[in-house]
Formats: sequence, structure tokens, C-alpha cells
Amino acid sequence: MPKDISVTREEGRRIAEQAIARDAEKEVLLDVENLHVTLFTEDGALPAITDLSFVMRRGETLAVVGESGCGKSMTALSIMGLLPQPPAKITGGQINFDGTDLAKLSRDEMRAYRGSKMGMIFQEPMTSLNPVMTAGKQIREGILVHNPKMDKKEADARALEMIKLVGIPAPEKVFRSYPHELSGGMRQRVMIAIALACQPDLLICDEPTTALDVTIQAQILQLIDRMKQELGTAVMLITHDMGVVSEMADWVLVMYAGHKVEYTVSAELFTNPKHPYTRGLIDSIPSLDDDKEKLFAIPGNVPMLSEMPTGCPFHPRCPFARDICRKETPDLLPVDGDENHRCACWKYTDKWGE
Amino acid sequence: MRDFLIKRILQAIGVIVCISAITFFILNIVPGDPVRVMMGDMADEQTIEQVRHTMGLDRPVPEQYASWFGNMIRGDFGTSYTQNKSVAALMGKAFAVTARLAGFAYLLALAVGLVVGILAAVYHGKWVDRLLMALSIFGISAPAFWVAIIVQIVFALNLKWFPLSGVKTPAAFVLPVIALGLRYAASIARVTRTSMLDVLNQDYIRTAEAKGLKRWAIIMGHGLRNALIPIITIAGTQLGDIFTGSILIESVFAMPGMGKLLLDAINARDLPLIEGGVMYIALICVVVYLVVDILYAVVDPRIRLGGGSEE
Repeated sequence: MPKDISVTREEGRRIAEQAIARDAEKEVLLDVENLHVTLFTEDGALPAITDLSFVMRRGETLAVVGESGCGKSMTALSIMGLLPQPPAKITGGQINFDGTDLAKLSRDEMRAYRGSKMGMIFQEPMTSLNPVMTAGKQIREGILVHNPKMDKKEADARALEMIKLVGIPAPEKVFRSYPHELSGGMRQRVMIAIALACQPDLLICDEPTTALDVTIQAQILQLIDRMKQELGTAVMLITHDMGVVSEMADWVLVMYAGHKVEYTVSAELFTNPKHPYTRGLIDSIPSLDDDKEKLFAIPGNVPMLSEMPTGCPFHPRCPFARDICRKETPDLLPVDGDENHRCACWKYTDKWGE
Repeated sequence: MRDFLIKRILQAIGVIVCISAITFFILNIVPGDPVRVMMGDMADEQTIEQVRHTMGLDRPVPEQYASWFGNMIRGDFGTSYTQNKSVAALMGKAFAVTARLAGFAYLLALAVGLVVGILAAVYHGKWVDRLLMALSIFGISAPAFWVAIIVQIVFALNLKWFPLSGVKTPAAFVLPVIALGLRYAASIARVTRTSMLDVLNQDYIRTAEAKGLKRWAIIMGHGLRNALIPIITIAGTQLGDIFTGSILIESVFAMPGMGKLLLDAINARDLPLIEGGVMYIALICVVVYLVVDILYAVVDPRIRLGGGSEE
């Protein structure tokens, strides 16, 4: 699936600059600033997300990348106001969505945003739909709750329209179907229809294709991309598949153990990856051209939140780690003075040579 | 769905026939001669033989069974040996009492059990949950006859709110209904809580939240509907239980219900009455399980065999 990412550095630079120029014209939709999420467990307070900041503009796709357990889903759930409470809690920072700080709203106040201004689709289409309710009713429900004046007939018509929009064949039949009568790909389309039913400004996709057949994955990704074009929805795409990132993303946010480690436009990231973790992820993409016996993998695992290393969280797995990495946490700084490419790694600072 | 129904109803009829045969033959094997019990010690052999012949008890057992079964289908369960009245009439009168007692106790158990279970699940781990679950353990462990006596002492003897026993007024049913319903309420509450807790952690609950639905709309519309499947299983078997098991409460409150009727019949070797009583219990159980199976299919579309989206 990866698009040809073997473009040259210069080409990458040019594409990146174009993307940034296009971007500047778009209005900021979501501005997350210094977000901290803490898990309050029996083992004490664990930092699930540490000092996370990023910006999303209307109609653009931001890919959030990292291995399992890096805080990607936590980030999404924080924005949706769906953090499992207890144990998770936002302990700092702001989530400015269209001028409102969502972090300050109660779960009940967030209800007005969920489903109407922002929708979310999940990893498991097999279990994310209510098994005892027809697909049509599950789509209609969200429409009705945010449009109290609409009657059931209108909502039904709107739901059917959504089913058609997400490219489901025989929409009337699917409208009356229960989830167990639909395939995984169809269910994920229904999920997308639910999430987009009220035409939200933001669609959060938490690993939307991980549980699907490879042949269906591309269809679902194309659908998400088409919805983004047609409805002007901003898409936050959570994934660990770098191929998907290269295909879909405008901007990429690389997360590791709850920290933001690299943040830039997609073309720049693939042609000029800086952080050793980002490089590891890109090198892990299997290539058909190489005659390698063994696939590359980053050694080790994401640390448990309760056993977070000191200094840079990636240092135990990093081939370049030095003393400073073990002692101090690096700041997220512009790479070569480029404000649009930030990376948290000692390797690119003056302190590295010391 | 229609094929499924027809199949299940045929099965139910088969079960009824089997049970009727088994009980009839077993009752003819067990020791104890109904004629001797009926006539007392003073009767001479000749009279006994004569009575036996008039009652048809000297005929071969399969023949007796055939004629009994044929009559039963027409609603004639024979005549009670001890009370000299038709079994159908005796059972009808007693059933009117039991049906009211067990029916109201069951409705009470369902209402209280569901509400308590849902509240405990929604406030999982909070004091509401702990209090309700402590009460439910009490409800399950307290023996029914003990609860019956306690409520009699407190509400009938001391407070004089309700009659002590009997079936004369509707008020007389209040205490027996509570005494009988309590344990069923408690166990429905526990099943409801467990099932709701499981369901509320499912992915589709998160999907419903992501749609922006109200909390209680999610709990009732998405949660309860899915949680109902295990609840129906338990509540179904309990319906059979409560109807056939109300005997203890009937004794404590001196109510002339099915329990008392059957107990007297067994003591007196009153074969037609015993057979009628067993058929009553069998019929209740078979009907309850049939209803439970149909309810499953109504609640859970995945069980609608051969049906599907057309339903």
C-alpha cells in the first residue's frame, strides 16, 4: 500500500513547502496545548500523556503514529471527552476546539459536541455496533439526539442518505439489517455513516482498518479520504501503519510513551525523518525491492507507564543513546531552524557534541 | 421464525406426553394402596376388591394410562379419591389462589430486581452498589419461611397493617407476596447487575457515547436491551420455580393453593389429584421455557433462526 516514498530529499522538501503554504490559508479547528493526561491507579499517578501540543486545521488530515501503548487512543478519547474515568483524567493543558476549551467542559456539556461537531470511529467494527439494533436505527439515533426538532421519518431519510454516501450497495436492505448480517467492511462503513451523520468538523479514526481484511483496508481509507474532500471534515487518523500515513496524512505527529517526539508535514517526515524512533518506524515498512532475509524491527518494547525511564523515554531502545539521553528529557525543538519540523532528540542539539 | 415456533411447540407437546406417562407409571409402582388408604383399616378384602374394580384399578396399567390420558386431553382429570370432587375443579380453585400469590410475587421480583440491578451496575463500586448488593445477599440467604414469619410478626401482629393469614381480602396477599418475592427479587438483581456491568463495558456503549446520547438513554436503550438475554434465562426458570415452589409460603399463611392441595393429595395417595398436580407443574415449566425461547428471539436478532433482516 505505501505510495512510492522513495522520492528524493529535494522533491520531499518541495512537496512539504507546498503543503505548508496551502495549510496557512486554512482556519485552525483544533488547538491542543500542553495536554497532560494522568492515570490514577493503585500504583500511583501514571503519566499517560505528557505535554502534548498540536494543531489541526479544517479539512486536513493529521496522522498520529506510534506503537500500541503510546497514548494515541488516549489523545483521541481526551478530545472526545470519553476518557475512561476513573482512572484517566486530564490534569493539565487545553483542548481548544473551534474557540471552546473542551478540557474545561463536563462530560455532560461535552455531549453537545460528541456526535455533532466531532465523530469517532473505532478499531473493532465487529464489536462497535450494538448487536440488537438495526444499522439504520443506530445511524438515526445520533441524528435525532442532535436535531430534536426532526421527526423520525426525516431522520430515517437522512440515515439512508448517509448509508448511500458511504458507498454501501443495497442501502435499504442494510438499513434494516442487524450488525451480524454485515461483513466487517460494511460494519466499518456503517460506523463511518454514524460518525458523519451530523456532518462534524472533526472525524477521529482510531486504527480504522487494523481489524479489516487487507483488500477492504484500502477501500475504507479511500472512503475516509473521499468523505474528507466532500464534507470538508478534518480527519485525525490514528495508526501504526506508516504506509497508511504516507497515503493519507497532511501532517504527522509521532508519539512515544505519551510524549510527542516528532511533528511535521508528511512529505518532510518521510524524506527527512529525524527522531531515531521515527526512523525505526519507517525502516519497519517491509519493502518488496529489498532482498532482505529478515524484516527490520525496533528492538525492545514501549515502556510500561509505571516503569517510565528517566531522561528521553526512548533511550533504552535507541541505538544512539548517550549519557545526556539517560539523564534529561529533550525539548521539542525546530529541526535546522524549521518551525514546521519539530523533533525531541538530543542528537540535533548543541548539547550532543559536549 | 415460524418454523422455529412450530418446532418448539411440537417439542413442548412431546415433553408433556412423556412426563404424563412417566408419572403415571411411577405412581403405579410406588408402594401404598390408595383403596386401602381410602377405606381405612376396617374394610374387608371383598369390599376392597369391589371398590378397586369400580375405580378401574384392576385393569392393566397401560390400559388405565390410555383412558386417563384420553380423558385428560378433554380436560377431565378424573375424580379425587379423598374429596370426591373432580380434580379439574379442585385444581382450578387452588390455582386461582396460587396464581395470584405467585403472579404478584413474580411481578414484584422482576420490578425490584431489575431496578436494583441496574442501579447497582450504574453506580458500580459506589455506596449505592454496596448497599444494594449487601441487601441482595440477605434476600438470597434468608429462608422464605423465616421471612414469612418475621413479616407476620412485624406487619400483622405488631403493626396490624395486614391480615395474619388467609385469602379473604386482597390485603391478605400483601405479606405472602413479599415473603415469596424477596429471594427472587434478590437473585434477579444480582444477575441484572452482573449482566449490565458486562454490557456497559462493551465497545458499542462507547460508540453510543460518541454519538452524544444521554447517559440514561445509553443505559436503557443500548445497555439493558443487551443485558436482558442472561436475565431472561434466570427470570424464566424462576417463573417456573415460583409457581411450583410457593407451597411453603402457602402453608405459613394458611392459603388454600396448589401447594397445599398437592401435599394433602400425596399424603392420602390420591392418585388422580397427584397426577393432575404433576401435570400442572410440568405444563407450567414447559410453557415457561417456550415463552423464554420466544423472548430470546424477540430480544436478540441473532437467535432468529432462518429469519434475519426480514423480521
